[in-house]
Amino acid sequence: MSANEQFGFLDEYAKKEIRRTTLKAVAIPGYQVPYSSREMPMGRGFGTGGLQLTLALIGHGETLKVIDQGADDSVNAVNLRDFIEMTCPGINTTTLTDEADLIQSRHRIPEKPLREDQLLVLQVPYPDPLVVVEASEDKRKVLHGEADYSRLLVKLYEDIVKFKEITISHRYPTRINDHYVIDPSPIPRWDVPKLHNSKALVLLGAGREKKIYAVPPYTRAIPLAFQDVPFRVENFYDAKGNRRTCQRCNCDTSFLDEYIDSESGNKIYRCSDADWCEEQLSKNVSEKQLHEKVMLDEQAYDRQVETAPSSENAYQALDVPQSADEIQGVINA
Amino acid sequence: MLELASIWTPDLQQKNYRALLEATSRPGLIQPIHFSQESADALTAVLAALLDGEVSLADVDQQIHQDSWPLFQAKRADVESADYVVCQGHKAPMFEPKVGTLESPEHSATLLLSVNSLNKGPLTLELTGPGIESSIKCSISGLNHEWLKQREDWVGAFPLGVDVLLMDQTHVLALPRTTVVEIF
Amino acid sequence: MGYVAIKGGSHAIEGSKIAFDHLRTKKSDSSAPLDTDTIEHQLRLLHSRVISEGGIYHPRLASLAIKQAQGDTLEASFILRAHRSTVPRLAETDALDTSNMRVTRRISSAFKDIPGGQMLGATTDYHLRLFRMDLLNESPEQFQAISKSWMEDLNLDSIPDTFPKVVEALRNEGLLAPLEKQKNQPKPFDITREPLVFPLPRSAALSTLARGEQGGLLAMAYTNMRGYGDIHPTVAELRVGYVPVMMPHPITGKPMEIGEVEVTECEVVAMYEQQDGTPVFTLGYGACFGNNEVKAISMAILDRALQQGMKHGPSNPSEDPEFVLMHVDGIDSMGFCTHYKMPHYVTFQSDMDRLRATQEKQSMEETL
Repeated sequence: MSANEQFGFLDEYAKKEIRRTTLKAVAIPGYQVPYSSREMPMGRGFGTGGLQLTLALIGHGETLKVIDQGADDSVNAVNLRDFIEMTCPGINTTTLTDEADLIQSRHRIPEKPLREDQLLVLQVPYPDPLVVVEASEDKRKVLHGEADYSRLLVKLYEDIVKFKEITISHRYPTRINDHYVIDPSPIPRWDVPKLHNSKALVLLGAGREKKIYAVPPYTRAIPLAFQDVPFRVENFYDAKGNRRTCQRCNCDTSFLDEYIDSESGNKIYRCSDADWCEEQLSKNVSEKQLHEKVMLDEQAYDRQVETAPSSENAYQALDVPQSADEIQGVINA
Repeated sequence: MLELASIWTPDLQQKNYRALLEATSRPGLIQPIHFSQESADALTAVLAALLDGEVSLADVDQQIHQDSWPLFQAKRADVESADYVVCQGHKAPMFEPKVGTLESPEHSATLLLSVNSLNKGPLTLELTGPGIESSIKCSISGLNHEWLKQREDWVGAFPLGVDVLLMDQTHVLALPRTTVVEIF
Repeated sequence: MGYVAIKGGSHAIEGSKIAFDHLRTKKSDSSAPLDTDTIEHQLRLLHSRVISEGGIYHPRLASLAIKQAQGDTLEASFILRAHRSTVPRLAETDALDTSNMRVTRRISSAFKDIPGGQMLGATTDYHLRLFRMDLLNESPEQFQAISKSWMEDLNLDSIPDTFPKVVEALRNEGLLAPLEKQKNQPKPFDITREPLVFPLPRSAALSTLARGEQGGLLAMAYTNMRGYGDIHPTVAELRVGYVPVMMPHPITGKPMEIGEVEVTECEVVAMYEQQDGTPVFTLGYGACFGNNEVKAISMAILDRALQQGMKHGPSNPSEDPEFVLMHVDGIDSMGFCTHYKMPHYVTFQSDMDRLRATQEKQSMEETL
């Protein structure tokens, strides 16, 4: 694939427009600022909004992390990261949340709280929470301007009457700075509290819908709820009332992916945030076991290797590749 | 061969944009502007990072060099309709900038006010609001009090408002419309 | 530079690229790779469609896009459009004057005969849709014979380069509203530089339609034609040909032709309405790159419908600017459609959580 010579792929006009848009977005927290949104070589719906933000923001020497569903090696993240590496020579990329200056993410906010010197870019498919109650953008803009979200609250109330629960799972409408209600992107409810009084600036980019909005640091971000039906995050407790833990690192405080193991057919739970899981694991696993992990290379990836199990926390087959940085030894074939 | 000062290069414009983003995200914290002394100044560097042919500029107090206009590419506009307005901070404001509309609050001006100093001076402000953990104080010299009074009016009906960038010789301090400013 | 050595998703993507290209070359022992000329000429109308939807007049790259995308028009238009995004803008011409079009086809349904005559040109309109089985085993000699033969006995001097516009005759008679004076026209809205914010100027609507995906445009226009709308259109003129692109000479300043682009233009005359006291016919206008007649006609009908909708309020979806203009771009729509194939397991996890909670609540109530 060929790309033009320009650093960051986009021409300077496109970047400047995005940059000006971000400044207005931060000055008007939660307001969706329209912009022209260039076509990128990946499809609309694949994070072109987040990508345009990253390309307009990033500079030489900065370190970037790209994740999708919390994983650095998910196909969408891989695709985007490859493209950014190719078009922005002089940047670094990493899987370590700690090392990243800029994090572009689809559907998750990292488990580890971000610092003031970090920036988060979220990929957004639907920027406007009012779409469910008003089809016309013209009319929605007036409602937003007046902070009139009564119809949205009615919709939530109707959910409660029908289902005894607020049924919104992800994309939970959240009020920013006591005015604009945003769609925080398809992050789970689990991640919504991280927007409130965040140390880091959060920028949200919708490429197809051509909007950029922001949650500034230290800003109120309150999910919509009722006094008697509060906001609730996802429930990771089993029928016996025990909090489920990650099968890999044993963490009991993270958002877990649930899936059917391809080998055993059993339901298993693992941390969605791959780097978080790594960090927890390296706290648990001894030096010896670290050395026994498979070094990531072309052949070894396809091989499944079992390490000596320490307890229930047996590190089983390698289906989540490791960053080469983490591994300290090489296993003999 | 026209030698462009480095403020016109993409690399420095990116750095200066990031300084503006940081300033706007954390009002009250002053951010350094990148430029080379011989060929530019902080104000020109900031304008170079922001402007192109899609936006308009009003130069109220003739601070901008004639040579810079074609490089900015910005359209000249009246102060009431300009996207970017440049003024001397020690002079009282004599105009009403555009504050946007309820549907499109982003159609509002960004005011760039030149002051003497952003880190010491007779005027001490206490700032609170988005981007500020609890509150922050800053001391400024060369800012006419009238600006703060007028600003109160302009930003009084959120989301309408203007966003202000205070600039001394080397740094920028942002007062987005959400920042609550008290004279200490 | 420190780069992440992630392999899992990368491997899958690499493998998929190889598989895709393998399918393209399956019959390599009995067929030759497509060349861009073949696509441009033998698949002329497909090629026209991709240029039009890609939004940049680059015949060679449009052919490459079709080859690379293995014939998927949405993908091919996407590749071309993404390329367009990277190309710097050197200058802007004045509006092209289609009355200077070097016409290859030009008809009117409004009149039996028109100045210059009805010029059918190359069209499938009157073809019998029966298979030409002889094309199955067309030999190179037969192929070449066709191209060599047809222009042999023509007197090229007797063929005019261009023809007067039919709508001019209607304007002269006062049946169609006069054109607004050029002087006070605002600059056309640039949809590639500014986002669409409603209400829109007509130039924004027309440029959005001009890059619109043909099937989507046709479907929307069809809703209007079939009866949801009230336009009662008649094609005043449909012309296809090559329009010269004029730019001022860098030294003398005189306008010079720097090239020509193939354009299809359709002017549709619709129901009359009062304008400044006199009833006149209203005009619907459609124009696009390449030879795309269904598209140009659909555009003209939608242009009229949207003008109607913006003036009187939409009375059906085809008159609603947001409904039409936000949904006709093929790149936007296919991108989003395709994105549903991406991992969504975190959001699904969240959905399952809500459903389980709701089911639990309901079953608790049932047992009470």
